[in-house]
Amino acid sequence: MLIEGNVEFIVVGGAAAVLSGVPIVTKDLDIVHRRSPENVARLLLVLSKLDAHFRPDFAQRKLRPRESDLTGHGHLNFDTTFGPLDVLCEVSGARGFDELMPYTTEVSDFEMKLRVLDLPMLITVKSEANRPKDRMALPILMATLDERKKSPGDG
Amino acid sequence: MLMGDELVIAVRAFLAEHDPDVLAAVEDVDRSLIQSELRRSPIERLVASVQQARFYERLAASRKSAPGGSR
Repeated sequence: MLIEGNVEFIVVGGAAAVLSGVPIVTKDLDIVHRRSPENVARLLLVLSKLDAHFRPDFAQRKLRPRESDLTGHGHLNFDTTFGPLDVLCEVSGARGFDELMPYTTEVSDFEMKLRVLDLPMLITVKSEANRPKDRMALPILMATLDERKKSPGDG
Repeated sequence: MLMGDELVIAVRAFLAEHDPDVLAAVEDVDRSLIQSELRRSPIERLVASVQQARFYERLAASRKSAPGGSR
């Protein structure tokens, strides 16, 4: 729906790792979106269609994202009808959509085209974040990068 | 602006100094799993990963609902 809604975004996090060949399990989608007014409006529309609301939602208030949330700098965690979706305004180093674009590759399958954060930048971001879960992920990310170099034809 | 290999060289240098255990763990990774993943298309990998996550969720839910539950 993000693609159908013409939202400009980059897949980051676990899904980006999986798309790059890292053998891990992921159930959520992390994206970094362009924070232009037009794109934020498109993203808000898609989030509305996905019934996106902030998680955790202990009080079951179903708080919806606002434009100001999506133009800030934070990480916004949502539950949607398609599962968990994390919308990140920036990742480590205050890197937003524009800063990350040079570090992306395009993954296409039939009519779907995804802009995905490449493994070297993903490794850098995880290293800088330095949370326990990120440190745990680093060895398998780095090993995958090694293996990809041995099979350069891989998409 | 650092790109590609330069980025990873910088990360490796940082880890060598501050977190050598993480760097050492790179050699312990089962490469056969990675090679298997690399034979799939990117979208196939994503679909398989999500299906696997859902399987684990269902398994965990069934364990919780079983008499005695799980810890």
